[in-house]
Amino acid sequence: MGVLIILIVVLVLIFIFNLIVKENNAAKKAFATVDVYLKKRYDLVPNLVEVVKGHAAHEKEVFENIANARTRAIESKDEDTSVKSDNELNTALKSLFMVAEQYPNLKTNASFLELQKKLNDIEDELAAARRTYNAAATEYNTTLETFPTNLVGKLMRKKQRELFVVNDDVRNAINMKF
Amino acid sequence: MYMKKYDENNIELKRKISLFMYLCMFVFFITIIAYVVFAETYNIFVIGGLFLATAASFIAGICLKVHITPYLSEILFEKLNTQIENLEFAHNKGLPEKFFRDSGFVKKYVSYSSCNFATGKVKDYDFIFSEAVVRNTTSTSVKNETVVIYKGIFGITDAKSESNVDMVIAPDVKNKFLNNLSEDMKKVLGANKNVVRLENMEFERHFEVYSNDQVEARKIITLKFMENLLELKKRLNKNVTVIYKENRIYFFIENRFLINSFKLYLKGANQEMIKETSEILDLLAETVSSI
Repeated sequence: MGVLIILIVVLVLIFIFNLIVKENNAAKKAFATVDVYLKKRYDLVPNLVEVVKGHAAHEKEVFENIANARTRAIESKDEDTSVKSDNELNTALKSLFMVAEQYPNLKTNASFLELQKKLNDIEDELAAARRTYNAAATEYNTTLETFPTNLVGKLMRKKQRELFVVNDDVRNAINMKF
Repeated sequence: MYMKKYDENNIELKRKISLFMYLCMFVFFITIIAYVVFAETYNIFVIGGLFLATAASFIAGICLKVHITPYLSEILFEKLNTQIENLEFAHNKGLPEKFFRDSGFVKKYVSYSSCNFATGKVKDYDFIFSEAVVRNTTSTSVKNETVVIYKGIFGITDAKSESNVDMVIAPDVKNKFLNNLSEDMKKVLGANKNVVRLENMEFERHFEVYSNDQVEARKIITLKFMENLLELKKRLNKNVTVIYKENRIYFFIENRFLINSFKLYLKGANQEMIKETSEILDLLAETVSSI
């Protein structure tokens, strides 16, 4: 009888362990998707800067901020830093579009419009990917918080994941309307 | 329009005559009952005459009703005040069966019929809605019988952008709905049920979303779409199902029709009917355009 109880407890522990691993991997996979779209966006930024430079070469501070933010974003190692750097890049891009607003020729430039459209498309995909990550991370965090899975989570030293929560700057950030 | 040209006043007169015939039928029937109960002696000719009068009133009423119903629908649609552009309606036309089969909503059925075809455009979205009745045979221990497995609104629109995703937005009445899906749509549910968890808690209470691609599903199901679908469900108070398949979106609203035929028959194409039907169509169009 005692052996049976121990066996059941072990099986339950194994089940919970596997559940936590599975959900953690799902969240990692979701973040990897976000990363793919972030990289696509980072690749687009230099082209955008070049087009704007062609019309507003004197706005050096803006271009420098974008270059630095982009570099930090690309070099970020963990998920939390990646989110923070991405927010900084969003703020820098906001300044770039504010500059572009002051140049009517730029607003009708075919290359600029095409890049703007591509950026909009990537933003849509990024938004969906972030929502997917948030859903996976929430499920994982809930598993780590609820009983009895929280006990196994603590033994495994698992930490909760940060969700993508954009700040007000990003909400108002990239002004796509011209 | 697919009907002969009608005179609206003529149709309205026929509607009133039809209602009057039903009223006469009711009066004759009550008279028969009263005569049988209270009369001391029975005159066979009186009873026979009353029965004939009842039957004649009933037949006249029903014939007129069947005759004017399509015209009433057309009159109503001509008077509608909606945000839909190029709104067209045809009572005796429906969505082709091919679309229903392609949707994968029902795996097996023996008959499909459709009518009350309404098409239009809102915010660059072309859409078609119609009413459909679908039947299948069921086997009991005694015999096979044909039963209605779906009746309600059936609509389609093309997706805004190309996507390989297949998705099912099901009302939260799991067993009945999921068992009826076609095999290829059942695959969308997945062995582990590819459930897509969304941010709107109220939406989650009323709907369950299944998809073979979590990210693509969230691109399609925006917050605005969730709100509109919820609003549609609450206003109509019926099960709403949406299937996204091969870049086409299929809508199913069970036990609901574009036109409340009985009310239309009783009240005619009055302001109340115009307002009610316009609101329903606007709500459908708003939901379609928010995808």
